[in-house]
Amino acid sequence: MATSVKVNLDLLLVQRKMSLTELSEAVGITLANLSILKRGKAKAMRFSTLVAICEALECEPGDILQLGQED
Amino acid sequence: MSTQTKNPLARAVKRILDVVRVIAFISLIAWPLLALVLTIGHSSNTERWGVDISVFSSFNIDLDEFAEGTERSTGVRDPKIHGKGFLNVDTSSLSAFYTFVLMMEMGGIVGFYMLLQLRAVFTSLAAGESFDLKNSARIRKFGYVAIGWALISPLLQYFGGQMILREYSLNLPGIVLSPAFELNGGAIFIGLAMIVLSGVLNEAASINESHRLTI
Repeated sequence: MATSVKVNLDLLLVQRKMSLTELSEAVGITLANLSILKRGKAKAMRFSTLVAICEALECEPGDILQLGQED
Repeated sequence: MSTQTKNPLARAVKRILDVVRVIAFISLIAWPLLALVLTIGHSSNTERWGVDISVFSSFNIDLDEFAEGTERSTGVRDPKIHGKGFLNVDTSSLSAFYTFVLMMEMGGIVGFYMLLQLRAVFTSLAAGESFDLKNSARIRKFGYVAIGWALISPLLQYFGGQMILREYSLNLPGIVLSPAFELNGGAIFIGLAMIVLSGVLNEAASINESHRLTI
């Protein structure tokens, strides 16, 4: 098992009662790219993206990203 | 930008390869069938039966011995000429014909496989996916097959030529035909260049993949 960074977008969206489409419109990132991020398929994340999502969800980077074990 | 305007050259080449693929496929199927028909023709008319085949062979001609009784050759210090190349023969031997068909079919299958790989590369180029990991693998396969065939083909030509030439007894004084062996250095070089290119493309595809998945 390898350690990897997990994106907690699902949980934050549920807590904020926000859909992925709404987040997409708020941060100006395509739905396809947000979907890649949500499914954990992304290889890297830009600071600008992280800041935009944090602003839209009113949270800290640590709330979005978390270290976890990969199967 | 639409796909059509993205890569018009790749689209044009892909269309040409589409046509060539169909022709090559029909030829691959038609060759053994034609061989079968000609074999049937042989059994019904053994005396007059003949088919044009070509054999890679080397030849040595002793001009003095060949033209004995006539004027001696002038302008040459040694009255012997030699060389190698494809000799076209109207053969009446069925086994020579079979050997030729087998050699052609093997070359055809290898060529068809390379054509399919090339077509797949141009299909993805036409779709605007230049840096694709699959393309790298296709180009690498193309390179390996090109090198493999460049090494196997001369052996096939040599032993095939030996089998075909064994069927003939020309009885011409001064002329000796023998199977020829010639490595295709150009094809080996192209194969190696393809393998190197696939490595570069693989690196580019990995960078492209990382870029695509950076959100």
